[in-house]
Amino acid sequence: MYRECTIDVKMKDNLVIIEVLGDLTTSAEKLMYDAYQKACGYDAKNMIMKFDSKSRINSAGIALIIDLVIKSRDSGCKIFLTGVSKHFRKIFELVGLTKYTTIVDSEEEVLIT
Amino acid sequence: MEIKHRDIIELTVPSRQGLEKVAVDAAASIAEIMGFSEDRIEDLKTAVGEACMNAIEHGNKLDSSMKVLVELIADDSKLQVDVHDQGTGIKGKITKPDIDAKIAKKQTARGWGLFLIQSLMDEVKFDWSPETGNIVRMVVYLKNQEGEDSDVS
Repeated sequence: MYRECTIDVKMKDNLVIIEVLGDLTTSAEKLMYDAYQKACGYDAKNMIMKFDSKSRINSAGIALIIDLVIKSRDSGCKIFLTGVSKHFRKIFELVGLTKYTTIVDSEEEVLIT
Repeated sequence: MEIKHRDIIELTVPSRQGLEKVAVDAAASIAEIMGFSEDRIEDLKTAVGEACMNAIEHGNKLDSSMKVLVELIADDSKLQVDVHDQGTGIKGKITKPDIDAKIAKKQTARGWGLFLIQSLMDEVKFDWSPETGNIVRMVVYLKNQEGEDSDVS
């Protein structure tokens, strides 16, 4: 079953956390744009997108992540992804997003490095 | 519940964003009954969602008076999903989107749908005729349970 998307942005120890709950699809476009605007306000060097295990993504959602990567690269910010299911990982590898983002097991992994 | 020798299930949805989910859930339910693995069901859900979304947005141009017909044809060895719209079909050769070009802003970030469909399904065929309209035919075989990449023509 599909679920509406909610996106929450917060700062933790110099890491911007973009928490995505639900499905990242076309309908999440404005939410992602607002989240990115808020995330930029923190002026952090690392940003992590945190998915929950039940999140789903489609081609429009992939495009939203690519947009985020483009904008973050312009500001010298690295993007990490966590909470990535086996199917998400497969999709990210297929499209080549793993070249431009780093998949980690948890946000703590980024905080430590 | 079980799938008989050759069961055909049809559903039609109005061309409105979000209603592709109805077809996705139907395809997933049938695949589950047929005994497909969770991984293959996830592949199927992504591919059917993309095909239906394309039909709704590009084929029928979000005109909710136009229907997307989804035929789910199940037999002992495979599940075939035909997605019909009333558009004019896919023009030109389908090329793989280029992530590097997209990151470099030389291509739009979108345009992954057909690539995902071809990458995740065992067989894919795009067809169009004045009588049938546009059809995307996707097939997944029960024998390919590991979700290995299939040949894409």
